[in-house]
Amino acid sequence: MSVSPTEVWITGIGLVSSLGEGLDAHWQALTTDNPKPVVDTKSFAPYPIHPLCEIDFSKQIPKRGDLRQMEDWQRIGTYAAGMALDDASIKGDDELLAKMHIIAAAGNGERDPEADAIVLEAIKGDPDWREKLNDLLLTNLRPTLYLAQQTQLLAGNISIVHKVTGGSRTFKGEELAGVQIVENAVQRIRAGQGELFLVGAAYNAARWDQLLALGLNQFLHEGKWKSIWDLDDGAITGSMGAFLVIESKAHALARGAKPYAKISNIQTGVDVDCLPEGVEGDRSGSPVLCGFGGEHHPMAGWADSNVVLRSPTSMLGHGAEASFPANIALAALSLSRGAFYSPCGNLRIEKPLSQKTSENLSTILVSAYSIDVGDGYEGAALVEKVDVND
Amino acid sequence: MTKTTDKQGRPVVAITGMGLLTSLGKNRDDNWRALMSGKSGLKTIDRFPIDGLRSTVAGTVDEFVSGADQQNSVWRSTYLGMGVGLEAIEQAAIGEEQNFPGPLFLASPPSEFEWPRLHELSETASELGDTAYAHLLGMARQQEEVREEDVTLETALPGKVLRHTFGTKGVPVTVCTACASGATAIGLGVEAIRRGEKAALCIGTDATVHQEAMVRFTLLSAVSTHNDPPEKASRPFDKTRAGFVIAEGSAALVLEDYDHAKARGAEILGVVRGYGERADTFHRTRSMPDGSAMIGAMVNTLNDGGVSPEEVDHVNAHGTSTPENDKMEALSLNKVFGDRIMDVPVASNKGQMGHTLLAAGAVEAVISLMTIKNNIIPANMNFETPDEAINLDIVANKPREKNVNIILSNSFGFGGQNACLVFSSGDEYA
Repeated sequence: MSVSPTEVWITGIGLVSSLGEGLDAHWQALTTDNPKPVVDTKSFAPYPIHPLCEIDFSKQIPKRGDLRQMEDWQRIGTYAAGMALDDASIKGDDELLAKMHIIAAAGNGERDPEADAIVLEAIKGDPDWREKLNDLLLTNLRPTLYLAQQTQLLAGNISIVHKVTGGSRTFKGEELAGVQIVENAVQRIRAGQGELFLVGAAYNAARWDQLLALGLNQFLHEGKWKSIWDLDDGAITGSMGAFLVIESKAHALARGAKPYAKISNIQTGVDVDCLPEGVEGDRSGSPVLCGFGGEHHPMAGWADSNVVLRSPTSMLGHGAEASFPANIALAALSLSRGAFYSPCGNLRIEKPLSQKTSENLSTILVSAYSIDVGDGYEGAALVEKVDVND
Repeated sequence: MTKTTDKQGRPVVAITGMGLLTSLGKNRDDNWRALMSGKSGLKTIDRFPIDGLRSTVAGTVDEFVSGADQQNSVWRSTYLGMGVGLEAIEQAAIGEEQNFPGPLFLASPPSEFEWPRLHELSETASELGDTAYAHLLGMARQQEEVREEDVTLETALPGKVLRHTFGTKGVPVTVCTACASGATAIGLGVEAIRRGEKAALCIGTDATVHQEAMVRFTLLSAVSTHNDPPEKASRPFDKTRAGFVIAEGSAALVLEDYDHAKARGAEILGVVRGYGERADTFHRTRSMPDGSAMIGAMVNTLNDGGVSPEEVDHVNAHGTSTPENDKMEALSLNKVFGDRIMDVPVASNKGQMGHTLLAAGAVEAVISLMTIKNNIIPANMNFETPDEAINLDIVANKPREKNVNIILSNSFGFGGQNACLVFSSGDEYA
């Protein structure tokens, strides 16, 4: 006898990107005919990025002292986390915040390119540079910056600013870490290892140090914007913050919270010809939201089938750890509004979906891939409409 | 056969393999001998120039590192992780070679630029100026191939390498909760076994003694300035403590479903009874003045393990040797143990080996389990001047014999990251 697993609901979403702030802005931008990306081709030329929309961070991070001790990736994430808490009606509820666990995903913190430039200039051509380095660093590095560089300090800042005081974990590992944080929440809810989670990540694309890291690994596209289906030399990165409030159905019902959708299944390590076969559910009826998958995009092969593909990543840009939570947010939004997103980018691959089919959508598959696709570094989740009369 | 479960009806989490590599020794036995002898792993840094540094002591691991790898702390950390993983799997005698039958949970250090690489890249640029990074990117564009030291800029890299080495299942989970990371990696493994996994490999590794690391911790006033003699630099709970000492190290634990281990005749080295976390909201480097978050993490851990404070025989303290941590940890321990506080011997291993940062929770887990096995508590070295603000029974300067069945191990990190573990011998399930 199989016991049906605990239902896992998404009850709050915080989303910011180049397309705007909040769900309505994203809905509008991605359901209009021929969605247009927001791209900055000049600031980091020859590398285009999707810059973050104009944001007044003080709306979610009121204390100047807090803002001052963060770098942008932490501000973006702490802001999106605050939006998700507001959206789920949890902000300020100490009892709920004390039992809420944070699972964040993050990469390396931001370096200070100006300080590094001073040091590099001073040691250039000097064979004894290592003897001078300590003094140069002691003079030029800001103490608070090092804290901003620490990976766990997105989660740490969320606890400090929004008073989330359950457990705190931060996963590392680019795209797949974004899947693993959601997977960890789902697994723990199903196993009774927690009821209420704040899960998400943030990415700041406007960073020289991050671009250099990606550039050294030959992971960046140069030149004009292209959809992810047409990129053949690397990614276009995008600033974004995506946080989700995820809780058990019973917990949500008890506090009167409304779901956007439920996560019926999630897996990482699926390694079946790059197709997320391991995720159960009726795939034939599920359109797919996918992230960037490198130059030989694993989902492109699906274009010849009946599966309807969309990659909001073409519009938002590649956001490493944040891409998957952002796509989960968009899947949940679509199911809750009973409509789907317009094709964006390559129209041979992204086929339109009739209005009738869109209105009756019950599931959306969300997939993600590591930079080096294959070897099981893939993940997928099935997001499902919640019938509130169930 | 009925399933062995804990008080909450969950599978029991056994430890069947352990690996340990620190500045004290390259395997479990070497480390234990050094812990018993009181020998220090700390020395004056000779890896790079220390000119201008106020703190010049570290606990470096110099084996397994050579040439270009010496310059890259992520590769160093990954190699240490390989060493301890192999030792743990060998002891557990589990799975086929390169085919470990469970997931990998890894605590590994930041994947950052280091100065030797930045400098090398900058030497190839014709100009730098204010926009140095733009010029470095120009140089990067001209490289034909990706260089070995640059792949470490991907944070998933250490996990990918170790997964390949050990053949662990699924995508490795790499975690960062600062100086609590090693404990969190074990906590993730505990949860996985309780969800039905048969085995999990948990590794904490950190080999980040490099120039900028020393400078950063100096700027935070976090590292000890007692440079001479180096073996006296780290003084947990001592009144004259002046900061921690950065150290390198790595530890691995094979966690296994208790019945699974028994069925294949594996030796049970101990049991993880409980794991708990609590986030602090007070400050980026300081804890809530009433200790509530540290207390919360300890209490959550004891509750999770169904262990009452009366049952705890010993606390393996976080005890970093910073004025702030040791004061707050002592205060919190007093709140948790109440009148019994002087009956619970407390020791920090960091006096002897320094602070292995992201690996510390895993390193101290292995030491805790060896303590239970041997019924000898390794000493809290350099405890010479008691601090009136610290009311604890410190295991001062020489190991102490005591029957130890249950140990609480604490790990606290910057950014309000608090995670604790409680271990037992496992005799209660035998």
